Amino acid sequence: MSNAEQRFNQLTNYLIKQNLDMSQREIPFEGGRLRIFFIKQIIDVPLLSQNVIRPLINNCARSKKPITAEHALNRILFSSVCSVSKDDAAIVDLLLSGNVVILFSNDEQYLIVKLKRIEHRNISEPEIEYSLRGSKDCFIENLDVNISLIRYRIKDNMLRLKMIDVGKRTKTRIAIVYIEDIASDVLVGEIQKRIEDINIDGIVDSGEIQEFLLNKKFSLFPQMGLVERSDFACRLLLGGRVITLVDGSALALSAPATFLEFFYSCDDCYENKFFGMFMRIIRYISLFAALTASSLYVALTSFHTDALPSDYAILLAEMNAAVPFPSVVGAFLVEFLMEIIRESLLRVPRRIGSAIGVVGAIVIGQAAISSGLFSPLLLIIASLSLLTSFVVPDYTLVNAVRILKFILLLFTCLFGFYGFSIFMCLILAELVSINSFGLPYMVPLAPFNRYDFFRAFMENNTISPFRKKYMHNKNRKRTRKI
Amino acid sequence: MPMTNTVNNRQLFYILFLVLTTYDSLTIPYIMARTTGRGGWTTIIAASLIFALAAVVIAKLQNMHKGKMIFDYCTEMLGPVLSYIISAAYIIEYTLLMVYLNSQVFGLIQTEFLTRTPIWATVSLGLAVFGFIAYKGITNVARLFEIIAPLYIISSAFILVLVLTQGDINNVLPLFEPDHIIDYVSALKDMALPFMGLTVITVIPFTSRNKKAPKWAFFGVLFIGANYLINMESSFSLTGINTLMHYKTGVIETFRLVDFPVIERIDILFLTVGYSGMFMGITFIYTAMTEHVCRMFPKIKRHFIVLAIGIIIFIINMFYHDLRRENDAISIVLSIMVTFMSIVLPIFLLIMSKVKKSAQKDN
Amino acid sequence: MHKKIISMLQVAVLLLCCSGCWDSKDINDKAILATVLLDKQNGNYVFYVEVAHTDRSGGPEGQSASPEKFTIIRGEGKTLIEARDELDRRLKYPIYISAVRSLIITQNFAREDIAEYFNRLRADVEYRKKVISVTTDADPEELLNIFGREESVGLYIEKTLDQMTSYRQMIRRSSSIFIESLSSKYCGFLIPDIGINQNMIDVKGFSVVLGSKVVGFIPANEWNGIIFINAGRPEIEYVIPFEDKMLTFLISLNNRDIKPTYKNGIVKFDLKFDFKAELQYTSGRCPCKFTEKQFDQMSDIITSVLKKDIEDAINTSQRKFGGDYFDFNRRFHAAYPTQYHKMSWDKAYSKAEFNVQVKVKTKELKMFDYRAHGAE
Repeated sequence: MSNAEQRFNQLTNYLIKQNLDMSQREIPFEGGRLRIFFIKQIIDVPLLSQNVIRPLINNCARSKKPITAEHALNRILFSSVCSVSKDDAAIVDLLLSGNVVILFSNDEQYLIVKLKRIEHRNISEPEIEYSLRGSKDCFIENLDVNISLIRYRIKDNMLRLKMIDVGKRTKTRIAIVYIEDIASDVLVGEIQKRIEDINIDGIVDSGEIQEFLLNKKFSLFPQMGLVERSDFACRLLLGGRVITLVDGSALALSAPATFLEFFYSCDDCYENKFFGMFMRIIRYISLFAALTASSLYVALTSFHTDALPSDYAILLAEMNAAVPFPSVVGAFLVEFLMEIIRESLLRVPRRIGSAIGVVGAIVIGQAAISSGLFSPLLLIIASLSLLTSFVVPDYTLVNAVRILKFILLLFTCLFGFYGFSIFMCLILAELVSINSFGLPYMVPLAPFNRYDFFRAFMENNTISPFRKKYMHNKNRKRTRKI
Repeated sequence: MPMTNTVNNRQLFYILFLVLTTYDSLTIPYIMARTTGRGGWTTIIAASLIFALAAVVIAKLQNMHKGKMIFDYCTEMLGPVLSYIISAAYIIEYTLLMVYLNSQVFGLIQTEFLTRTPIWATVSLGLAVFGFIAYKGITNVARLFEIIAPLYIISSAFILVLVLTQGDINNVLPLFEPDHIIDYVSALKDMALPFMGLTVITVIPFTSRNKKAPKWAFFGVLFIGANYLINMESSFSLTGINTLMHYKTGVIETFRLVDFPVIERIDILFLTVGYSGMFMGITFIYTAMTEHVCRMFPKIKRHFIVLAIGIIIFIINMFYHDLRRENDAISIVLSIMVTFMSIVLPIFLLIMSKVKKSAQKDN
Repeated sequence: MHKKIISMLQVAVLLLCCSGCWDSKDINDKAILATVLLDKQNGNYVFYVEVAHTDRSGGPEGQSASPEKFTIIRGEGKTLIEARDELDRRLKYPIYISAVRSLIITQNFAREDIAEYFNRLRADVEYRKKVISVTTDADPEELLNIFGREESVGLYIEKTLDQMTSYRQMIRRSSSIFIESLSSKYCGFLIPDIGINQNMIDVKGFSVVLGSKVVGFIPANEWNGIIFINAGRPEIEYVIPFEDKMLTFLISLNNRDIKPTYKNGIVKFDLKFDFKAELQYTSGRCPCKFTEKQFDQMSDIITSVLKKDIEDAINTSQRKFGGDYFDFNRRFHAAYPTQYHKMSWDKAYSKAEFNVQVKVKTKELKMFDYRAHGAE
């Protein structure tokens, strides 16, 4: 028995013993045999039959010479992605990655045919970044589909993709996407380094990657943007950012991300520029309202009642007269109730979601007031706080606000406006000290940058043909005649 | 922990503004009503010019020693012993400043807004937050100033415009009384406290982008003087000088009289933004102290230094928080220290630096 | 170890802070005062306060069983503090004084010493400094019950004065201005006086305060001169007899210039008033065919009427009351500070000379032509 034959038998036995739920097919040929190994759940079986097995059988039956891996690669197989290799240790990984491995009894080399086919859902409408005017296609869990969504929009030869496998067990494919002559090399290098430094057994979602890439591990505020829509991802790439796509995750990550950028929506650029500006201002005010509405209510009704006009003070006193709790306790209870409603709406099955909504409105709206549990004004304030939190496009920022709202409420309950202003200073201090991949988080507010500050309100290619100054891109000018 | 310490000129302006106007923007009508009367604008302008020139001297000094704070270049010029003594003097000045400002600001909070809250609660919370911010380093604190200072300036400008439009010009006249010239001059000594805090520039290492810092510092202090002037005149116009003579925080009393459609008491609005500005002023002094101590004792970790400073200031403040003390020893000592540390010492150091530079050139 | 100590310290501070929301007091747990009335009865200080009735029965949706929205509480004592203590003992919630709209001072009280209560107002941090002060000689209980407690008397008074001010027929001053005057070297000012007229609250005139007490009263039909001297840009209607008709004019002040001079120890004021008189309507049948000459005659008549009103107002202050309540002292002080400090303004004012010059420009209504001659 030759060495090749021995190796062939050893490998075959080894692979069978792995219990990978693997399928195999042996085809004899003149002077030997070949064995096709594959995992049928993750490969395209019809293509395997059509492009691999059929031509191999035809050839093996007719050929009077032994077939080698090279010969099969160059003369027999119809598949587009094929290669040969000698690395026996990589065979299992290749099989698990959706490849078909063909071993030859007369050759130490083996053939790798890429026939990966994972079941995935179709491209659907975005759930988080819904837009009236923008495109409705969004990323899905399949990395190749996601890359195709970017490639069909950006046909630039400078668009680069760096593929890295992360996770000892999951070997999740991660693609770092950027435009080489725009994005900063330092930024790309930093992201790549941080991803390569990840030492973990498995990654299943972009959220897990995000945690490893953060500058400041213990911070409430997001330091990377979440991107669901491919058009938004392309806009970010054109702005000099780096997009990280993770196989198996429908949300991509963008870096760097500054605080004000979480308020931006693609629609701001698609719509009339003044309307875009108007909506941005609404969002800024909304986030402030979401954070501070309840606290301001408590401060004005419990501490600094003299700020209210007398008629309103009397009216408020009448409204609160029958309420058993102090405003402080009432505010906490109502906010907590709102958080419960918000969480439950995420998980409630769609069919009964609307019914639950009606029940919730009746229970909270009407019954709570009628029974005198809460003041009507407090419920309005809490509802306003809840609604305004949905105005901001990126929900990760709102998550931080949801937690900070309670802490701010606590400070205000203890110290009134003094506690309010002290805690706001604390929040601002935390915000200015965060860096997102070397970029100050609060730019262009601090450090102030006049050009980009006005663009924080109005962003339009016809009036600002340059990329953002603070990004330190290689190329600031968008290619157009000015 | 990032220890970058650079600031740009705009941030420097905001730092000066908030540190100097921390509390004294509220008391300036009281000081002027008692000492000079309606002609106090002359004293304010004179004091602004003097301290503006002092700010230019300090900024030039920092520019001559790029990338260094006062402890570093004093060590080079005067030796380690003298530099430790100078740093210790600054630390004492900042300690007194912080104690004084804390007692005034937190005393004001207690008197006007939170009458039943014990002083230890407000002071401990305040110091904890100031310390947390000071720990982050000068650059981060300066960025924070870039957000809070414009808000403070805009809100106080808005309220001052309201005050001016509702005031009575007869309360402000006569603008100058020749008989009181001596009072105007002697009141200059009372202007040391409103301009205290100028020396915080000495802890900021300047870089190449701070070439125009002396100009920014000069106009910054003049702007502060203008702010005091408008505060004083608007308070006189609405409240009247005879009433303000008795109100230590005359500006707050003036804001209470402003008619505004939605908010009954506009000083509550000032409470949120204005207090943030005051807290930032105290925070920067805390930061300056921290920087000095960190330089003097490089082996001790920063967070210990911040904690130690906070505890010491808290303890001293618990013994000294009475708002109503007259002829306060600390304010007298502070006035003298401020004058010496802001004007005399920087001039001396600038001359030393120039002599050293020309000696080096000759060599 | 160090981190543990720091964390324990932080937790200790937070726990201590959480031990109580010391200043937290809900608005519904306070007795909200809308009006404060001060009286002196039999040598005792008497407080009447109008407290908002927020505890109305009928459930949280605000259906009220009783139409009364306010309660009147009385407190009496030998001093202000005793009177206030009695009030505190009669209220189930602590007094909330930051919502007071009007401070009503009876003539009984005001004629003795008005300064004490204003000093008290100044010293109280919570007291609303923009509160309107008025005097009255009406019975306190009758006054406060005039609306059957369904409407706030204090709010009504404030709104009445506000609407008169907005129609430029009143000088509106908050208590802070009175406090400033009381703290000044010379004190003299006017407080609106209210009363009851045909079961309604009526602004009857001004009470004159000189020093620290009320010394007299100026009725509403004599206050035009005062309004022209002190109000912002006053507008008052006058009925002028002209030929066989009574003409109604809207007189509005365009410009007012009061210039003090001081010569040979005599204080002199030159008052120049520039009025615009707009003919509104006439009595009798129209059409009116007024000529330019007639309009000039009207101007002359109006000039003399206005000049008389202003001069009468000044004469009343000098001769009847012997005090300056027009703030002429501040104008004089602005121009001659040194001399002002050396003199006694009481004496100087009583001897002061006033030169009143009035200019009136008569106009028609913008959209109506009184000069038109008939078609027939």
